[in-house]
Amino acid sequence: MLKAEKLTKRFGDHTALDNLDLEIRAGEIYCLLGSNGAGKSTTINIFLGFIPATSGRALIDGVEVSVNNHATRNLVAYIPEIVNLYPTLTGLENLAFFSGLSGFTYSRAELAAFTQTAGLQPEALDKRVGSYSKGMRQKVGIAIALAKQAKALFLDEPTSGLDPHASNEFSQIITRLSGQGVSTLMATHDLLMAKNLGHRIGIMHQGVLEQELRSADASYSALTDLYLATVNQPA
Amino acid sequence: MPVSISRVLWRHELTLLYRNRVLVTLFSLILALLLASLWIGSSLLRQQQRTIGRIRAHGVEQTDSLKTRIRRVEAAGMRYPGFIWDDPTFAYNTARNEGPQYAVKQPFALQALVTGQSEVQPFYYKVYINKKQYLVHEGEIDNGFLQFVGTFDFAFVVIYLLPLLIIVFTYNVLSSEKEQGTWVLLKTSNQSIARLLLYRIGIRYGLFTGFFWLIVGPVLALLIGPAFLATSNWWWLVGFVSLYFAFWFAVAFWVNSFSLSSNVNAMTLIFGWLLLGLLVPNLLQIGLNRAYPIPSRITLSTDERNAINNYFKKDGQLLTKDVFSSPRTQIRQASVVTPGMVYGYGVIVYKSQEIKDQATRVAERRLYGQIERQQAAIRRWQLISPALLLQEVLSALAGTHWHQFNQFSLDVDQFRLQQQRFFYPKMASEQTYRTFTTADADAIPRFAPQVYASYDWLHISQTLLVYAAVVAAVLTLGYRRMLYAGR
Repeated sequence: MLKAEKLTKRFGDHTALDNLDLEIRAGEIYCLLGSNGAGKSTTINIFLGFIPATSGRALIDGVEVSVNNHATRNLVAYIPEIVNLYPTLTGLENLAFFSGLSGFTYSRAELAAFTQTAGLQPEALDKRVGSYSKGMRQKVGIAIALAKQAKALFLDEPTSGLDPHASNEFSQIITRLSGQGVSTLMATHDLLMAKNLGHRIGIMHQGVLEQELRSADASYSALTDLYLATVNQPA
Repeated sequence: MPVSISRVLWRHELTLLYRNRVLVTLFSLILALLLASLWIGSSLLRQQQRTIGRIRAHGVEQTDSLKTRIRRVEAAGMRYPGFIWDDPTFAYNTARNEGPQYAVKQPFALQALVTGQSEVQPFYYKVYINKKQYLVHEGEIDNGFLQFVGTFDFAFVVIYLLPLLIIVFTYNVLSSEKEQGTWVLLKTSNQSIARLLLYRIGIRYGLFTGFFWLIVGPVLALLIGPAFLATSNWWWLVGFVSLYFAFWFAVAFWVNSFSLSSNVNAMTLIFGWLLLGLLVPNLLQIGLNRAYPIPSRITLSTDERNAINNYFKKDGQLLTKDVFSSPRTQIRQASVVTPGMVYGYGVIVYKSQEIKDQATRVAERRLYGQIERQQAAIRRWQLISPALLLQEVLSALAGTHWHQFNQFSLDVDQFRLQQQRFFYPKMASEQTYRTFTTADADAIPRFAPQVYASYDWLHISQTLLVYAAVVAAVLTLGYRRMLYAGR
């Protein structure tokens, strides 16, 4: 579903991403670990078409992002660290707008069903988003992804700042989506979440994907050791 | 863009705008100002109509009084018991007393929208054989003339205030998305940001302009009656004002396309408004006054006097000899004024008036020549400021442009000649100088009140097309810029 071929991004003299090769299958959850500036967000931004790659290709469902960004945007949903919505609109209105922009028109009941799946309390639906907590806005973000019927989900530090309960709820929803065939590429600093949620884990350092492993193959402490060994490598 | 997307955007924009308290408050304020301007304009129109009604009544009353007095003299065997200069059977006396007629520039209904030059130009004259007298501003030394007259009318609100509201309405259409972070989610939708922005600006333009006309049309119909709706002037006015709004929305779109912060956008747009709305027209007015200064009334009087003096120096001897020195016209020396003297005096007035008219024409040519030169310069320069262009067009469509007042003034001059042609032969003939009858009273020429609302000199379709092309060019520039930035 998601494929990176020799994906490279340079900002002037600085190489933010260096020859990344990556393939994520349908329904797979892939967690990218790495310290700040490792190239995780750059990878996501190239897949989303926010920034162009310097060289290499990013493909979503076989379509090259740089060639047909319009088509690939139809297939993806993005949940950043902070989901920013229109504060004067209600959760339901935000959901209706963003799903509408992607060409989906739903009834109120259908929209409410998406938010319910995303774990948003029904009483919050008609409240303005300005009064929402970060976790509630994340849930609206997930509801948008559901409503868009996205085949690929990009998450950038999605649980940062969430309380354990909200974080756990979030993981459950991502797992459920994975069961429905949605591929997920998640950039995170949370090793435990990567271990518990991801099917595969990649560890990046200075733009290079240094390590790749199946989460089932390593214990949490082994993952931690590997992570620290990778990110503490000298430049 | 499929219809469903447009529906999504319409609903979205409506909800966002409706919930923006600052915008709603500002909108209400401007709406109140707009209504006030319509009320003020229609009040001025009604006041003018009342004045014209009184003028008409006064004219009828004056003719009736003249005829009654003539009948009394006729009944008394052509003997007038009072002062000889008041005897209405003398053509000269009547030409001076009850003969002068009012010439009225009938107000056009749309004048309620644009005061234009009507603040400084007279809309009625009392026309004598020797002068056209207007009763306002006559005592001023300077000719109160400004090409761009501003008052709190509809045109002022449209030209100067509404662009500010449009700026508030549009300055952050794109930047606010970036600043509040919703930009990220918009970018992951499958819509082109350039098209999305163009669509949103378009929707806001539609809402703004639609709402504006929905208010103005009915309110104006209520205030001045619906007859204006049947005039082409109104529909051109709707076209130009809508295009003026489109211009500011297009400029806002273009400024937004640079993807700068909301503050920078707002400052840029305000600067644009100051430059195009205020600075350029004022600089142009100053430049025009420097290049083509309007002569003062003192200068004009001096010109007139010089022209008269020149005449007497060169060709005045004959008149002096034949008329001024004639024993029949020695009024100053006479202890009793005889009818013959009234006749002689009439002849002097008639003869010397021809000289004065010639002198006045010299002075007026100087005044109107300068105004015409200013006008020609405005036509050349008006496209550099949409505010200037709209002011010119609106005043022309409302019938308050200098051109229309000038046309009225020229028609009044012709009417004065008509008066002269009517009275002079009666005054200057020994057979008719004291035989002014009631039939003559009815035959005194009357000025047919006219509406001056034609705008042929504007080349209006061409102007509209050029203006529309400018708007399209600004939109295209902004759109291309956004597409380029999106790549």
